[in-house]
Amino acid sequence: MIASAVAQLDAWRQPVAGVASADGAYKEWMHFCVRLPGAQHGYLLVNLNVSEAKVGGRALRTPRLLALARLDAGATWVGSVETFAEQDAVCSPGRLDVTLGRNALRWRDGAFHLSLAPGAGPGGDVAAAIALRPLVMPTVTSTVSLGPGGVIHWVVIPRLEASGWVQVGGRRVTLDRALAYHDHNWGTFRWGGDLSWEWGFVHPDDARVPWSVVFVRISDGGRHRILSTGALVWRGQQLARIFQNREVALTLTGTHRAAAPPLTIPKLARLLVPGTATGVPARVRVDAGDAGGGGDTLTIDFRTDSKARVALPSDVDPFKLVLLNESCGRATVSGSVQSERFDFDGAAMVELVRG
Amino acid sequence: MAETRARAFPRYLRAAFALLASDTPHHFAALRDTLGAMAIVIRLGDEQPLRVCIADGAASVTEAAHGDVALQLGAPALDALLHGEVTVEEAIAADRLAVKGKLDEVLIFLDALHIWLHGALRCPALHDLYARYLTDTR
Repeated sequence: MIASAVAQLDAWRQPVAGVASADGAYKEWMHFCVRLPGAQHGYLLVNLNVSEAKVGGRALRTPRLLALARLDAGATWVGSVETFAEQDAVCSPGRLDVTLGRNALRWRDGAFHLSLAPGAGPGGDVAAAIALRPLVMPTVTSTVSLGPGGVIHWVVIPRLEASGWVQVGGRRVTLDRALAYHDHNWGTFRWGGDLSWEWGFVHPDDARVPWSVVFVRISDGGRHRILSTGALVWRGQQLARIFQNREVALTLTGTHRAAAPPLTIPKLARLLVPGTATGVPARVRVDAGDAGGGGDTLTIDFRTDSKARVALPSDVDPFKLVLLNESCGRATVSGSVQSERFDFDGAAMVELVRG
Repeated sequence: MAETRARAFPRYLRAAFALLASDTPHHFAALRDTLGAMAIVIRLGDEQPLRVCIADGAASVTEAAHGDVALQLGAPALDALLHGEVTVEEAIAADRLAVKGKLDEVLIFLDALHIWLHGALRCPALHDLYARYLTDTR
């Protein structure tokens, strides 16, 4: 049943190559985060995406692969972003399979099979062959209007089990049913437009814990106006509760500071965003409660441990960047849904889009 | 045997300017307007100095030592900059990059460099050229 739902709900909507749409603003990506073994805070992040932008007055569609990984607490992030020519990118709407050069995502026998070849370009430091089997039901499509002509849709699967291997900077680790996260986003918007978000998930340290949580807040660029907030709770395979908008409050406190500047990809972008200041908070707290006065509650307390950045060219201003801050850390989760209490700790990631 | 990076640099630099002009003309125009008549001299290792300027709407990269701002760096420092391992400020502080010129002209050069970088990040073909520069040279 899960595999069938994933195949129907999570398929690609648009080709990854070919003629761009008239307004040149379509975006779509498949995003995976895999917990790496033997570390409190190690994650592999892989994002296969197609992004339209207007360059020199022409609408261009560009397929890209982002790969970021951090093996251990204290270890540095490695990663790269690779861009592909149209003839090297293959995908059909309605299917889940994607090929980007020598990298591929295949949907077979109820699992995603992700293979990453070491990039030929600079910083091709991550390689992998992983089977990612969804363990819980995906959400149906969620949609947020971003104003005139702007919209973003997503499907989320917060818990998959990942088996295979990952090579990070020359070190190979084996995955044996490690927990993983997946989302699929698509829509029409411009990077650098009036948009920002915080998006996170928590994986319990003890995989027997049946609870999975995801939270998201989408705001205008200055974070003065919230467009949508949600916190989703699964119990076992089923989505048990969605807290929405006024039921959810996100509080960002402090500033995460590191001794060295974070890894920024593409690496050339670091020349434009030097220094250690990133605006990533030290803590993100999510408080959710039943607006109708019921007893359902959720609290997530995330503490940032490290971060890396993806720098995207603004579609709006040719001399600005949008930064996707990928933060790893620990989270404490507690609450009650349908009169059942939960309380667990786990590894977590939060993505903060700014710019 | 593969060409050294320092030896190949002028050819790749000319190709990079051509790509910037064709693929991100907005950035090339901003670069032209910012630099005006200024010339930058880049000396990579022990190679001949390169005089870079924009004249008659096109980039000119020629072997010459006279210009308004002079840069001196080794090939490893250039690699470190392109890899994002050091920033311009860090490279200068570490004596890996020397920038000489009048202050207002150096600041114009830094503005031009930022324009160049924004253009480069929007030009996939330039990324491919850079990858070839790293793989086809030593």
